[in-house]
Amino acid sequence: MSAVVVTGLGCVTPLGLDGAAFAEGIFAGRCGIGPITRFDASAHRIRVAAEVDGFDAACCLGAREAERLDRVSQMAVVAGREAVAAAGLAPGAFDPSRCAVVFGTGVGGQEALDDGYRRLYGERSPRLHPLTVPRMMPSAPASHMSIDRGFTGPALGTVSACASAAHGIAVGAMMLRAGMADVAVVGGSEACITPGSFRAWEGLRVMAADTCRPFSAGRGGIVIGEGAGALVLETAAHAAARGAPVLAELAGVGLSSDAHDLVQPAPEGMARAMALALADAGLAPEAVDYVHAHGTGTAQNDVAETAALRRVFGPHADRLAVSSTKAMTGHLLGASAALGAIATVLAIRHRAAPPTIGYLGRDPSCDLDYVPNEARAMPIGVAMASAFAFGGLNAVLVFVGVE
Amino acid sequence: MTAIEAGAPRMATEGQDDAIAARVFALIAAKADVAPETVDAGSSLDALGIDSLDLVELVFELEEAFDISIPDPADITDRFRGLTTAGSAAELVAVLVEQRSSSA
Repeated sequence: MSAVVVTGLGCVTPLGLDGAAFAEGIFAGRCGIGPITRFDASAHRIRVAAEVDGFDAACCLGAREAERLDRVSQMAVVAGREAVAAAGLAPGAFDPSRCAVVFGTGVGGQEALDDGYRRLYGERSPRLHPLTVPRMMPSAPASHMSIDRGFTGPALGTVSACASAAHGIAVGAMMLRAGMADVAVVGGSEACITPGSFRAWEGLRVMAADTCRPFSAGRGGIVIGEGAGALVLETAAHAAARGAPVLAELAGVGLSSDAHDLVQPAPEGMARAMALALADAGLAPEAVDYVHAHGTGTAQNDVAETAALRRVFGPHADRLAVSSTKAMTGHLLGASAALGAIATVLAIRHRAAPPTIGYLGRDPSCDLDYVPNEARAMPIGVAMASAFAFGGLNAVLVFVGVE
Repeated sequence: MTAIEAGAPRMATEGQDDAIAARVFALIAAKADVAPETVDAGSSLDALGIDSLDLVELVFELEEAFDISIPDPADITDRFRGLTTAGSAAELVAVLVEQRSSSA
């Protein structure tokens, strides 16, 4: 069984329109959270989000193509193109029937759905936009990416709320291990900054009114963000045969479920996914240098995740650098784990842990080293990226540096 | 029995049909992103680059523009020569417009 490696990255995020802007932003500690501009939020309780500014789909994709895609797919295609180009997958240099696409999303084309419901229930119009279904279906990002790049291997969407992208990455890696494909474009996309979506989220009482402060005293919850992240996974043999740049190895995947509660996370389930990922990678907990935490900034997640890290890592937990870039990008929900995975690979490559910005001070229940407010230069050989979704759906990835 | 079901001969004036055809051709040209004068009755929608999703949008736009309800594709192909050319689209619209007028 050939190892699985990462050969390309691409993203569209609240920190900028490509991977370079994301890398610059996360190590500089830039915050992409601000007042909502995508709809009139003046009457809403929550009026902040992490929006992608300046994304011009018509320019990137052409006006006709952009019109057919919901924003969630537009961003997925742009991120996917960047990752595929970065991996050097030029037409003719590989077999497109051996390329898979596995892309996660939390809700799919939420803007198309919101717009349809506004017409139907708000304006009492029976005439929804004729492309509402192809725009809203949660598999659309995967479909459009496969069409756009001409990849004819297995393609599907993965759906597991805030772990959707991590499950997409995991499924892609498993396809490579199983010999079903040589290359897998994986990741996630989300674009649900809409009135309907925000009203729904308000009801859960997990949203911060100001900003996102993972693991910090005074944290108020999540801030919803939008964007997409894509990784090109490839068997090590395939990458070596075509002389592709190898950014890191995806050495371990650990999946579990809490079977406990829909919104209350359980440290046991989280810890099991982490332990399984380490076992899959054949690594001891002590080998890990850095953890990109799920770190949503809610009271419950951050306490449970800290407890789970202590359970898995024991005394080594105090030597880990743990951070969450959600303070900078907001919570991209179904795409968040793609950004987490990309940030983790970048941390290995840049020999630095991105910071947890917005950190005000220690919460007694969150007592690890969260790399507060400023990036830290440090060698990172092994890093973990975690995603823990509503419903107790857990997915943890372990990346190893290559030299 | 409606005009569509019977495929009945129609009594509309030539002038009215010409005006409908011109508007239909203009919508098709816009959808295909080509100059309006390049579209005529014989223009194949396929050759103009109008694919399945474009056709879905075009049907919607024709309904809006003419305040008509276009039947599902199965009925169109069964009872007409198919929504395959600009001319067949104009013919379909003209029948439906006339039907709406006569039933009003």
